Amino acid sequence: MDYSIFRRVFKSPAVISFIIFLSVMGPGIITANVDNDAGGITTYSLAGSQFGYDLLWTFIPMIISLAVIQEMGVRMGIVSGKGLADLIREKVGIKLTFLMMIALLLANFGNVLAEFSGIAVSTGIFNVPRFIALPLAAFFVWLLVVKGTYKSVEKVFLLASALYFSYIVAGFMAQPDWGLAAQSMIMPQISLDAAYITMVIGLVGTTIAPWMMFYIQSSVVEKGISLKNLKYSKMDAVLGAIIVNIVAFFIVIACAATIYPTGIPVNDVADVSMALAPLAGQYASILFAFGFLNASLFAASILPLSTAYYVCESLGFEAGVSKSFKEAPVFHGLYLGLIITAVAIILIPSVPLLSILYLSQVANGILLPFVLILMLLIINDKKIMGEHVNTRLFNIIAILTVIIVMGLSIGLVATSLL
Amino acid sequence: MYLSDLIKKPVINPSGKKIGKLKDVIVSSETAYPIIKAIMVNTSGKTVKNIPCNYIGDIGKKIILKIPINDIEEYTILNNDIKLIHNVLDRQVVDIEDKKIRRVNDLKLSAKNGHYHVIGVDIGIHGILKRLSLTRIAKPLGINSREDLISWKDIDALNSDYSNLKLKVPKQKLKKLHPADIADIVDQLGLNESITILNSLDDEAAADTLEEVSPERQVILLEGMESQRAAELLDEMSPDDAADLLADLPDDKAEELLDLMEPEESEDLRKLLEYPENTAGGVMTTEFAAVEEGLTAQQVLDSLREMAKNVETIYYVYVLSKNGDLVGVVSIREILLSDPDINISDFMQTDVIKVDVMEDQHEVAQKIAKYNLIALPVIEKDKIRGIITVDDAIDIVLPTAWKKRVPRMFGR
Repeated sequence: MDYSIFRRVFKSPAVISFIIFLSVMGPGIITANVDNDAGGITTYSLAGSQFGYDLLWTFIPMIISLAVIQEMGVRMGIVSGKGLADLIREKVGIKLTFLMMIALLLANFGNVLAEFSGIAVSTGIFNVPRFIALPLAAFFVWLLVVKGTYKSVEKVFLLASALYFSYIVAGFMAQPDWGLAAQSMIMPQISLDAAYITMVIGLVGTTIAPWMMFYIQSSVVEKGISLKNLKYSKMDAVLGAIIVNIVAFFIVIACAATIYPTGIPVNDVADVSMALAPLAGQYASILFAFGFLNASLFAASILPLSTAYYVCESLGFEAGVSKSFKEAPVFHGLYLGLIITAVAIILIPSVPLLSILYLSQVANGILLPFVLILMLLIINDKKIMGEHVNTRLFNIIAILTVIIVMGLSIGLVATSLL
Repeated sequence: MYLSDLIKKPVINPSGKKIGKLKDVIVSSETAYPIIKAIMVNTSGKTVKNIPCNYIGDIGKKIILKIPINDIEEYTILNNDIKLIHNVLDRQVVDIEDKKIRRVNDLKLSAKNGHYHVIGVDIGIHGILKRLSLTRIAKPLGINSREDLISWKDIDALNSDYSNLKLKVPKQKLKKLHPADIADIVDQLGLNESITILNSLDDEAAADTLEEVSPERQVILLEGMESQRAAELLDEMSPDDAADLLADLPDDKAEELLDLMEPEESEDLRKLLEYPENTAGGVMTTEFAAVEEGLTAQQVLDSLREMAKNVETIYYVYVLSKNGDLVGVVSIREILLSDPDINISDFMQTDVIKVDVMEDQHEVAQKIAKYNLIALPVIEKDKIRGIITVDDAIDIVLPTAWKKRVPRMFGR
């Protein structure tokens, strides 16, 4: 046999595996980083500040179900070569798709609001007034799209995502009680208090956000990863799930160790950053604020555009940045509409930023089970997935997630009515 | 009438007894405007019956059959039949006229000569509103609900079922498009639809299409296809494109396909694969026209006619010495203008412009531009190994993939 064909590649299988992994890496990690957005960081820091170590137990089940769900998205994208919105349309027809898209549009509008409020809050920490910061940010987001250099900007954001390590550093600087933290990880402290349940839904909603399922699948499709490399993409998806939760874990710990014992009332990330300064040092405080700005801006660049795409593609409207307003009116209308409305609302003086952020996460949590049910319907369809349908274990984990999140949502409604 | 009007419509016996609900509509794809052959009915007894069209009496609020269902002989579904709701509605179709992918919101049906025909697909807001039963609400709101119809003769339905991939359904309409246009469409579709399209084309058209598809996509498509078919397409592709593609495949897959290919072609490819990617050897094609010295112009012309069956670029004929060294070159123009009986050695250019197999590809492109060549021979130790054509040189300077690098989600 003629082995010279292999001359171009390294011979060691381990090296080859690693190179393939690097080449398919991305969708999972990027999604994970966008996931730690304004809503995420706020929810995590509030969870730590208000409930101390009590909510740490949620992270282990969240890692498991996020990893499973992300893997499902990656698998569906690679096997079918289509986005989730497309598959939903083809699986359940237009009525359910339309409802789903309206719900996604609303939830994502909440998320976009959250991102811009995150920009307002974080620039506020650096004393930049919001009526300057927000239009600048909106202009930046728009420019990115018009100039079409999204991919290179994505790399900058990813690099800046290294800032998330600052949260881990901040976590250590806060000198938490590691023993208590470890204990809380394993032993759930369950309470039926409405505030507690709302916080748990918020945590799940921000960690396993519905838009992520759409986003990760589209990125896999766009990247054009082949079936052969499915296992590497799965690793990427799982790694992403772990990274999100580790960062989140340290944010909770940092706040739990410093702010929670003092009982200082905190309402947003600015308060958290302020409160961290005397307790964990000026550095931790600034890093916290800057990481927050980066996260908000990154997500604000991605969310409005991807939302407009999903809605248009699944309903069959022309979509594409390169198309003129006349060619693709719905697409451009949605895209600009999301950004402009969000900025306008955040610019209203005395608008309750915290409630907006927080409610958007709860809206995510309520929408999540419905997206998951549709994903389960699709991924267990042999006509779409062939031999790559879900295993029983994956089905069980996903269905458990659906049941738990639905239970929490119903619980929230029940407690708020009582 | 629209397909959406028929979905889940009750079906009743002539006596008025309810049988079940309409599940799907079966049409034959053989005519330009497909004729409805039968309807599938979900009966109350949880079975599915295919009722031939000629037993359908009146279609109003309900579908009334001409004779009781038990007396009807069921319709057997043929291979070329299309289920409108399952295969077309809500799915993507190819719009041949505009070379675009469209999402089907509804189908327009029409009665003519005692048959029901599909005349077109609705791709606009009108179709969506109708499906959502919102037309009555939309009108007062001033939403423009003109139907946005594409004639059925301008579309090709796609097949997205994982299980039916091996079915070869010829796509007559799609074939009319240029391979580069088909490739654009393939780039936008899901994996299964793309493979169906490639499988519906003959080897040559499929290979031409595959050459134009973006590199990442080529790999996925080849891996998704049956190995035998993939090898046939590689045989048909020009060797330089095939070699680039093979180099991107995992080693074991590449080896498997090379073994399945015709020995002659795979031998060429193995040689090509030895050269580093960015060198002249890496971008050249092994198909070129060459003759031995000593022939007359007429003889060269005759042998060229033979060679042209397998060789794409025949503008230059390379002249080789008895032991195979490259000694000269003549262009077709020179051959045509010369006396048929003159020996080519008398008028060939002996000072051949050439590059070494290990030459950098950008040097190659510059040389082709500088000397205004259509093709440039690539040599190794005085032996000609292949040629680099001007279109490949353009690809070096302006990679075909550049336009496709714009992320799909943000640039399409």
